[in-house]
Amino acid sequence: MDPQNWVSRYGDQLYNYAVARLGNHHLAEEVVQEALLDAVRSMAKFKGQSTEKTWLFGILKFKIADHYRRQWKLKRPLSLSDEANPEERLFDGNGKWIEDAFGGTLGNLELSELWQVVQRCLHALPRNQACVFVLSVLEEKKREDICNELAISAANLSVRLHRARLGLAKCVAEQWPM
Amino acid sequence: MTDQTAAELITRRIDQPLSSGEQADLDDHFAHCERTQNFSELITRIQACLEKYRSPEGLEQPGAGLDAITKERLQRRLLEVLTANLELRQVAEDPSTYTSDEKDKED
Repeated sequence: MDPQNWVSRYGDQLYNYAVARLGNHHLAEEVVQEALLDAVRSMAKFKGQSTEKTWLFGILKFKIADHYRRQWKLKRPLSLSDEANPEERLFDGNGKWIEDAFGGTLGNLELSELWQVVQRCLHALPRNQACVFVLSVLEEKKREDICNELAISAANLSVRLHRARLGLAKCVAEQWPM
Repeated sequence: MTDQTAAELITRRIDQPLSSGEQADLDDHFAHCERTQNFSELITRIQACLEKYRSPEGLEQPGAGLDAITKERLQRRLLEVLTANLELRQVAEDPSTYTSDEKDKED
């Protein structure tokens, strides 16, 4: 363990990982600081079964998930019917794509550039959709665990994930004209 | 099948396989709907991007990183906690160090 060098060695990676999931620079700094301080305080518990880097990321991942859990509980989530639904802006009353939705073919995109756009769009999603999307898709938490932690049904989770993906695709398409 | 139903199947199949009937219906829809094809391609690219960058063990996370001032502040705070932790451990191992330190401070 080499805590004196954690900031120089892993600081940028931890921060970039956190800001991609939280979408806020100050919050990301705060969470990285909390994770590193927790790591220092619990160094004695490190069993050496993973690398130092993996262990630090494990603590950071816990902090990020904890942030979303707390936010979900603090700010009472809207019901599905009250929440912004991108379907209303993508389909007409007969379930057909509206005129300007996904009308052109995709140009060439560098994956790293697409990642920057995806991050911006992810954090423009309604809070509840961003929360389930980050926990499920980026953090790869099991669906049952997310449902238990957020006290939502599997169907509710599926609807929110579907809306998040639709909203994300709509936003990415708008920022990256096809 | 409407475009809206096709879009539902496209996002659902990322997490769980479709039945053969659903997949066949979707393929039929693709055959005559360019917008749904475009949507599906975009969803696939976004998913590939997320899979590439979501793992800390994968590629280096692209991004700006911490600025120098924040790094310095974080480093200072980390060293403070590290020092405090070492002192606590030292005290736990040899309580007399606490007593003598306290005496020094009092003097």
